[in-house]
Amino acid sequence: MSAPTLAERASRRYAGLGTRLIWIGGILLLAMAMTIDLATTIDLLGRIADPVPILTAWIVLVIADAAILIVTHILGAHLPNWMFWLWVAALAIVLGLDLAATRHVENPGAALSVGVSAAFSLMLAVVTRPSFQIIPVAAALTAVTGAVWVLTPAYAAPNAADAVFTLCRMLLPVVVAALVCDEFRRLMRREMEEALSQASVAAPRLTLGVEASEQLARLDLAAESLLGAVADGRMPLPLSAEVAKRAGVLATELRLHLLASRSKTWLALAIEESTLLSQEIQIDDPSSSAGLLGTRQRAALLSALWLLHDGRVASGRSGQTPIALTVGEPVATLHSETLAAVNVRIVVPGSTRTRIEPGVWQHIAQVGRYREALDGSGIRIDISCLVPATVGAGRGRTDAEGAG
Amino acid sequence: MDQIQGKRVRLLRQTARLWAAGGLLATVAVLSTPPIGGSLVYWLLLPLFAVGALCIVNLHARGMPGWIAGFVASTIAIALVLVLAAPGATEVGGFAVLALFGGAVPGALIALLPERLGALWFWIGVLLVTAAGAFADGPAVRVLGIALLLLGGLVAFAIGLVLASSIPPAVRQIAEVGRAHRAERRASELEAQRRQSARLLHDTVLATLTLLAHSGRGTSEEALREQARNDAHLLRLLRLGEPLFTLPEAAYRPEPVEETSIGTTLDSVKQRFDQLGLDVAWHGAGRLLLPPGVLDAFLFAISECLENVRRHSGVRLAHVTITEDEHTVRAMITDAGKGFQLDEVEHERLGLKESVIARLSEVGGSARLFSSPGAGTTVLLEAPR
Repeated sequence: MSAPTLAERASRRYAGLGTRLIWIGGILLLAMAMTIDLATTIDLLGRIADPVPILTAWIVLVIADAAILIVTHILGAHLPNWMFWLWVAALAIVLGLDLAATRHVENPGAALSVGVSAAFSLMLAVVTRPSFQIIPVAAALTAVTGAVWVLTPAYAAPNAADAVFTLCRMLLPVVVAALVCDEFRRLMRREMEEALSQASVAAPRLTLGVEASEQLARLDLAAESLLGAVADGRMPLPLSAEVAKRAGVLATELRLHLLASRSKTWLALAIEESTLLSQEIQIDDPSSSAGLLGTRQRAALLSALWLLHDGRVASGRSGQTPIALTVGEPVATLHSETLAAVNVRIVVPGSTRTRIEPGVWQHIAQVGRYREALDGSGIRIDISCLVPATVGAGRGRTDAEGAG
Repeated sequence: MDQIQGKRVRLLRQTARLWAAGGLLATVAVLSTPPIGGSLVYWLLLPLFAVGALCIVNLHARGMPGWIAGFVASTIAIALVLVLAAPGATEVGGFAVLALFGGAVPGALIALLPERLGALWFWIGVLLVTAAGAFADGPAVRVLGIALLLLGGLVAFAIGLVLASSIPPAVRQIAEVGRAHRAERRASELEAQRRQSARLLHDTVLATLTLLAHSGRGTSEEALREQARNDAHLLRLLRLGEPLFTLPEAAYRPEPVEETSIGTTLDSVKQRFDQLGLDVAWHGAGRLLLPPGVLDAFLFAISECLENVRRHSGVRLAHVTITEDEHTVRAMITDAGKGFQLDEVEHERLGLKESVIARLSEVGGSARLFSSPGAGTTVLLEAPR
């Protein structure tokens, strides 16, 4: 696995962003469900011999849920793993107590009360846990309940409709809530990635990524401590083979950095640093001409790319042949001495003009004059971006990809 | 704003689809139990469920209100079939009505909330199915049924509002994170640029490390320690962000007399080596103005170094980095080739050293050579402007 991208780190750090209201909504829903189930319990108390298990179950459930509420609130939309699983165990115990208490009741399918609330309680974790953790737990609790009813002879054959309805109440609300939260997180994550990638538009023509900068600082620190140790005699000269090797590695890496790291354009970085964009877009910019675009052109181009990305996700084409983005060398324009033209070509495979959102054209129009054409497998957009002409325009290659 | 509305629409439509699908699934599950499951009525209902499912699938597409209307109609048709064809199955029917009209339909109606008059249409839909539900439920459970269906509508409405109003604060927060990130990025870029520039100006760190890579043999121990001390000090100053010197800026001096542009001339050097089979990658300033005498010496020195790379390094790529500040122009010629031990190859490379240093010092410049076996070679040339 490669190291997490900038966007991944950021979206992890801000995972709970904006979910506060949703969380409160979930708490209110749970309170409502618990009220209904409490009514069922009260109705049931006259009909069962031993009320202790079911009352114990209620106490355990209230304590466990309260604990989770408090922890989630204090930690700010975060729930440690061990705590989540401890809580799930408590929920399972609650369900077990309820199932045990309603063993000999007539129509057990309608008699389950606190057990239903226990499954419903998973609602409290939908904002802190991904759906792939919540849904299996909800499904397991539901399946166990159904299996106990069907397989254990202690239970009278339940009324099927009641039983099925109860099982649906245990499972479906939590599943729907977990999936809705997933969608919310997805939307916010995409928003976050766009916000982060837009930060790169102010960069100079060639720039270092944040990650490259951090790495350079780390190398410098390592070199500093090594040189310091040599200077004050902590390391005897001549150096041992191992230390000498370390010095050699440092020298090589520093040299590589010096040469390679200033060679990326804002566009290459914006795409590379975003997990979502880098999956959908392939950039080819051998002359680093994207760096010549002005800040407004850059912001508009990036916005257009994001909309194209959204379009692909919405139409389920995500992950197929990527969008190809080619940036040509600057060429002289006929009309002006002071302006040059950089041609940007975007090939969107498997798309037609009508399938592309109108917003894309609005943004592209801000990048430069464009033409679009159907290109066999998709649509091809050619943008001619006017940039200030430099003497160096059209001269030799200025990029270096980690050479040496 | 537009953007927030777009996200709201997407989130609520997706919620509506999931919610309605859950409700429909519960309905099918309940109806699959006896006495309806497997009966003729059940098979009659299945096409209606299929229509409902089709509408749900299309809830996020164009013509959404139409698909919602279709979905509501299909659920009412299901209730009608239940009432007319299976009047005896009141309990199963009651659950089915609850799941449909209290769950699936209000859920689907959530998709209307972000539209114009969405709340109005939402409640019209809820009241319509509540009325249909009251008709479908027997008189015994009618009041409870109506209460539950209205409760279902209320819950869906509240959740819809919660989701819709969760988006703007989140988007605002994200914009803030983006702004903070922009500032952080600019700072770290400046910092890295500072480090790189410092490296080019005072690049003895690289040379010292290269010497150390060779265990420090072949140099005076005292001198090496002194050099290491200076370099560590430089790096420390860099790390602490203390001012060292002015940064080299690609500033062009205003049109001095008798100066020549180096740009096109560099091109000819590059082309020459291209033909000889050495790829030269240029970095840094694309245009330099130098007095003619200095320009000649500088170009000669660069060419000599490249020629040396071509002959001895064993690689076919060299990097030339050119920087300048107010007083000095620098070129760093680097290769990742074999390298050599400085004190051992004096004779072999005497030509290079002498010619380059001699030629540059004539115009007040200097050359420094750093290399070690296996670690490539770096030559730093300086000339006054």
